[in-house]
Amino acid sequence: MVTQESAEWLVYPLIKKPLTSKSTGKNAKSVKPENKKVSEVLNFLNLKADSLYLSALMDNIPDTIYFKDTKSNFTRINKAQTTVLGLKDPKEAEGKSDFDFFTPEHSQDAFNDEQEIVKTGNPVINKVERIRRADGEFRWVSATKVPIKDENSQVIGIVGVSRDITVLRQMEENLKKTNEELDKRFRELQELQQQLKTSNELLQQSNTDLENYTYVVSHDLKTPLRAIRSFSTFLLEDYHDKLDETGQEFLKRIENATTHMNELIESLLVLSRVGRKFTEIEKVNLNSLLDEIIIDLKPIIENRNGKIVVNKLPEINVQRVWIKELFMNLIDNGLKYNKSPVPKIEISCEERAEDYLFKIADNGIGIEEKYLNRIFKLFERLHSSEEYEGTGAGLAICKRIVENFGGKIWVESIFGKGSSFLFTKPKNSQ
Amino acid sequence: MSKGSMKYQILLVEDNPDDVLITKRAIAKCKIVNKLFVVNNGEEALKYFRKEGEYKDSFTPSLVLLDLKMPKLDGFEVLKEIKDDKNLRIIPIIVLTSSGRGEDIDKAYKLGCNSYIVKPIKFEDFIKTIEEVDHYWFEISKTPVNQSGEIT
Repeated sequence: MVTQESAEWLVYPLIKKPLTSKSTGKNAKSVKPENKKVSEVLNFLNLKADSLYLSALMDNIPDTIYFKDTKSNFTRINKAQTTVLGLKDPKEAEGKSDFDFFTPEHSQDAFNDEQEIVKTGNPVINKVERIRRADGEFRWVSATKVPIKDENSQVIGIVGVSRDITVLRQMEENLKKTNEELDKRFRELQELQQQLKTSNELLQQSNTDLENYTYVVSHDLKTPLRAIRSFSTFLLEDYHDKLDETGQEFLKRIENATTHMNELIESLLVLSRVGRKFTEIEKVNLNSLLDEIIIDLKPIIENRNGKIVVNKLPEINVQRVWIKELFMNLIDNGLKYNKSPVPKIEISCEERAEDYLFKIADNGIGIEEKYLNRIFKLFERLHSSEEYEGTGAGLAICKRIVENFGGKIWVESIFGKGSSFLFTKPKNSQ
Repeated sequence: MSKGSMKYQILLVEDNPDDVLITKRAIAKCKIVNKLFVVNNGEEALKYFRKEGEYKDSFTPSLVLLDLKMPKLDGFEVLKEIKDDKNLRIIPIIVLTSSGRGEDIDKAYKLGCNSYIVKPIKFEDFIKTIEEVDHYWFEISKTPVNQSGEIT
């Protein structure tokens, strides 16, 4: 039911004077009496319609809306603001100010802003404020406050709308934190990468140094070795008659030892040369290479009555001299450590997505499982030199070659039945 | 060529007394008639070539066996000095060393050595090597310095 009184109440907070017939009469002097009635009704109806829209807006919007007078006291607030202030009825707020509800700091801040609006007529748009709700919880709001002016452009009040942006703000803060964290992690990662690069360079340098060192030392070791060897030969030649059988045997032992030491030095030399880029990478047809190796190893193969089976092998880009050394060592091993009447070695290759998997399988003596890890170590031997000749460097050299290609080498073996040496060669390396 | 009557001069530049003995013995063993003269370091070698001081009456060698690793002036420096010298560069120089390093071989040939031989470990092999050197350089090949130490 619309009454004059309710219309009055609607307007009252704004103009602070009752909407009486007296005052309207005063303001509508020129209007004819019979029209005055009609226009009053029309006015009233328009006001009523506006009021309905306003109420709908005020009561349903989740943002807080508040009207204040020029002294920053509430004249009217909406439902949302009522809740924030911890009131039951919006009317309870009338005449009260922020200081009655919020923290002194925020209240003072808002008061200053509002007084500035009253003074200058300039609005405050989207100001982010932290408020303490009646329930004690602190929330972030974005406040927009605009002046309400009368027909003479005098500021007669303020209307404000505050939107709760706590969730948004939290999201922003989380995002900022995540970004900072990400930034920190990125910098840490960059630092680690730099450290890794430095360590790698150092490692590479020390590897190169070690290889050079081994290489130089190995050559230097040969000079005294040659002297030992030569002078024991001279003793045997010149003082043969003065030495008894034991003395001659001792000299023979010196000679054998120098021969062995020379082999060790030669192995060290080969090992230290593997990493050195003396040869260029080229396309190598492995089937042709294996034909060549079989010709080179012919005396050994025939001597041992061996049989070499070569399956279809690919063409790969590789340092020819080293892949040859690798296959020769593995085939030679397969023949050497073999007691079968017909030592058989089968070479095959499986092409995989990222690499080639090569397999050199023999029907030799096999390796006990407990020794599988030891055989690739330098100068590591499972047999005495009386049993099987060798320096124990062959597989260490193989390992070095394969790792230099960027691959891996390992062995699978059944003791007494045979061994399979497997190695990979990445397709994209080198 | 009549062996025995005329002798070529071979200069051995070698600091290690063991290797000097071994080389001398190898030359004696394989009955090389050519004379061997020994200097013990690079500086001595250059004095010898340039007939300076005590070497003022030295023969110009027909062949040089040059060790690489020597104190003071090493084999590379001797090689460079000789091969940079207009008059001396014609003398064949054979590097005789323990080192089979690729870098050393490259460097020696770049400096102009005429041959590079790695000293064998076994004395039997050393004798064979010296025999081969003598045979190749004095019987198969012609060298520019004659038996009298004159450049022909």
